Amino acid sequence: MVLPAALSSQAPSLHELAEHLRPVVLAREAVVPVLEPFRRLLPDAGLVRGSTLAVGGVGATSLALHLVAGASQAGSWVAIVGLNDLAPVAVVEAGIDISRVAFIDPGGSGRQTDVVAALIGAVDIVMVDARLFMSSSKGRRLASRGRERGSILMTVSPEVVSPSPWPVDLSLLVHDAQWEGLGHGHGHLRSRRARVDVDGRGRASRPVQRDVLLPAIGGHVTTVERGPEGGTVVAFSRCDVAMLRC
Amino acid sequence: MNLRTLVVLCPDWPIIATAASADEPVAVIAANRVTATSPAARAEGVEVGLRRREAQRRCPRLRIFDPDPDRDARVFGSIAALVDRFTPRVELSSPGSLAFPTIGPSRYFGGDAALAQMVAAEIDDALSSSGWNNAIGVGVADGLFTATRAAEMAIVRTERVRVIDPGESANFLARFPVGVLDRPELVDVLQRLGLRRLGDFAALEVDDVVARFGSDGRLAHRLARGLDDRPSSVGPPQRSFDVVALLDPPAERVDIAAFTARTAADELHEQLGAEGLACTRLLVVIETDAGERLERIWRHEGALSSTGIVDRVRWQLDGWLNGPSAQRPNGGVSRLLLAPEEVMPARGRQHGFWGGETEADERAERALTRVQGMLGNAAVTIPEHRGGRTPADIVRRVPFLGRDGIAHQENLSRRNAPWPGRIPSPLPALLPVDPMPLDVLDADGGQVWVSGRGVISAEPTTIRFEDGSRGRHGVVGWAGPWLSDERWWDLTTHRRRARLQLALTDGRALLVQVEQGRWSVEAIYD
Repeated sequence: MVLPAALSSQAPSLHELAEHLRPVVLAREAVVPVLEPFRRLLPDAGLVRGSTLAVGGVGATSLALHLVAGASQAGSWVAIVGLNDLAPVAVVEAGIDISRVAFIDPGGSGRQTDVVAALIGAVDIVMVDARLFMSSSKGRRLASRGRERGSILMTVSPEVVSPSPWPVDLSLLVHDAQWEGLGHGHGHLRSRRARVDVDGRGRASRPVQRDVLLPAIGGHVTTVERGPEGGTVVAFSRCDVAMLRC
Repeated sequence: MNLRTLVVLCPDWPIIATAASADEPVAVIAANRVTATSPAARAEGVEVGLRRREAQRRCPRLRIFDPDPDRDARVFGSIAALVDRFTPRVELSSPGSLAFPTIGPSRYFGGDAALAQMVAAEIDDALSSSGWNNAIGVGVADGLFTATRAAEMAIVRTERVRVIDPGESANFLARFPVGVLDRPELVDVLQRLGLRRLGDFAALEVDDVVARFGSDGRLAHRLARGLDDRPSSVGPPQRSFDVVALLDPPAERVDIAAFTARTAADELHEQLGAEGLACTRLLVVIETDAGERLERIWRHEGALSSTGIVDRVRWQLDGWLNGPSAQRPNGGVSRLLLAPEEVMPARGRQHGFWGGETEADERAERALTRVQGMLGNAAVTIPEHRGGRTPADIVRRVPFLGRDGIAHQENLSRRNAPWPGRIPSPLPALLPVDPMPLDVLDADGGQVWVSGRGVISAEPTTIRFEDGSRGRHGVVGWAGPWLSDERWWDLTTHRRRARLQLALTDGRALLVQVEQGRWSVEAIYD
C-alpha cells in the first residue's frame, strides 16, 4: 500500500503557492461559454459572471435554454426557479447536461427571495421566472449578491414580457417568430425563424438585432445574416448540440 | 488477505424500527417510492420500488412511514449491544446490517456455525418478543461481500444461518446473478455480453477484465472470485489521525455532544484531506464522566464525509443515551475520540487544481439540499429520462436525492427503444400546468371534429380559448390529425385522442389534442 506520505510535509506550502499562482481575471474576461451561434449575438461572446439577463417574448423559453446550454456542457450548474410549465424534455433537447440541472418550485411559500439567495454563489446560472418577483428592492439586493459571488441571474418571461425585478445588464427580446414545416394538413413543425433584439448597458449599449433559427432543422441553433441588399440569407456557424435520442 | 467475517442482515429493519407489529401491512416510502415493506404488505403485493399510489391501490390499509435513518440507527444500537457479548469489534455499515471478524470469537464459542447460531438466537429472541420472527439472516464466509450474500440467502431460504466453508466462496458465488455486484453500468454491459452469473464473470482472465473495465472492474472481478473485497490501496493509516474532543461541562443531551462532534469531524476531515486520504472505517469512542465507555466501528463503502461522521456519532450517542435503561450511561459525555482505522487515497473526491468540476458539483448539491430544507423535498426536482411518446412522458421530473442518485437513473433500454408514433422533434418547451380548453373552428365558425377513423371534419382556420383573456387567433398552418390509442389493454388508463399541430398568426405554435369531443392545449412551442 502506497500512501502519499511524502506530500504531507509540503501541504501548507502547496496551499501558499496556489494562492500566489491564482490567475488574475478581469470581470469582462470571466465569461461562461455559450454555443457558437450566440458568440456573434452577445457583446462579450459569452455570459459574463455576475451579470443579470432578461429574456422575453414569444420563444423566450427556448432562447433561454439554448443560451445556457454551452455553459452547462462546460460544467456549470443551472437552477431553474419557478417556470412550472417548463417541459423537462425541452431542457434536454436544448443540450443542457441532464446531470447538472435542477428545477425548484417555490410554490406559494413566498420564500423565492431566500431560495434565489441560497442558490447564488453555489450554482453558476440561476434562471428565474419573471412572474415570481414583485418587489424590486429585494430583487436589487439579489442582483448585487449575484455580482459579488459571480452567479448569472436570468429572468425568463415567456409570452408576455414582464418587468425585471433587478437592473438588467443584457436583455434579449424575441419577436416576429415564424414557424416553418407546417402545410395545410401535412408536414410537421421543423424550424422557427425569429428576430432577437439584444440591448443593455456598458458594452451592450449599442443595440444589435439578428435573425436566428431557433431551432433550425435538426435541433441546433443558427444565426442568419442578412446580406447588404437585404435579400440573400447566409446561414453560418452551425453547432451540434447533444441530440435527444428516444 | 481475506478475513473470515460474520454478517447479520435484517432487510426489514426500517419497518421494525417504526415499532409496527409484524402482522400489519407497513411500508416506508421515500421520494414517492416504496423502499421497505413488512411481510404482511408483501403478501398483499406491495413491492419495493412501487409508487405510493400504486402501493395504496394494492393494499388500501397500508400504513405508511417516512424514512428516518436517525430512528433506524438509534434502535439498531440496541441490537448491536446484544452482539457486544460475543465480540468487542462490531462494525456497523448501515442500520440493519452489522459485521464482525470471527477469528477470535469463533474459537472461543466452538466454531463458526455454533457462533452464528448463538448470535442468531440472541437477536431472534430479542426481536420475537416484539412479534418479529425470522426477520434476520446470519452469514459467515471469507470476506464481507460473500458473507452478506450468504446472509441474504439465509433469509430467502428461511434457514436463519448459512456458513460458507473457507475457500468455498468462489463456488458459492458462482450461481448468483451479476446484478449483486451493485454496479449498474458494469452489470448492464456484462449482461449484454451474455455473462449473467458471477461464475461466468469470474472465469474471465484478470488482464482482460482490467483492459476492458479498468480498476473498478478489477475490484468487481475480485469480488466475483470470492477474494478480498477491499481495494489494495485501503489500509490502516501510517500515522495516527486521532481527534479527541473534551466536553466540559459533560454533555447530557445528544444535540450538545453532536455539536462538539461536528467540530471534531471537520478537523479530522481536514487532517485527512491535507494528505489526500479519505476514511473508510472509523472508530468512535464515547466516554462519560462516570468512567463508562462505548466503542463502535463504522464502516462505509465509499469514503465517510464530515457530515457522514457526525451522523454516525449522533446515531451512536442516540442509541446509548436514549436506549434501554440497563445500558444507559450514568454520567454525561465527557470525551469523544474519532480514530480512523482504515483509510484510502481520496481519489473520487479530489478537487480540481483551480477548483474544478467536483467542487462546483459539491457546492450545488449543498445549496439544493438547503433549498429542500426550506421548501420540502418535492420542491427540488431533476430531469430523468423515461422514454415515451408525448413531450410530457419522455423526460420526467423526479425529486432530487443528492448527486449520488443522479448517476444511476438513466434507464438506457427505455430511452433507446423505438417509440412509434411519438411527437416529432423539435419538442414543445411549455406544458401548461392547468388544462387550457379551447375551440378549434373552421371557416364558417363551426367546431372542427375528428372522427373515430381519424378524418378531420373541416380545415381549422381559427382557435378560440375558453379563457376569454387569451382571445382568438388565426391558424396559418396545421398538421394532423395524429391518432393515438394508448394502453388499450388497461381499462383505467386507456386513452384515445387525436393531436394537431397548429401555427398561429402571432408566431406561436401549439400542440392541441381532442379527447372525448373536447379540445385542449397539450403543449406550447415557446
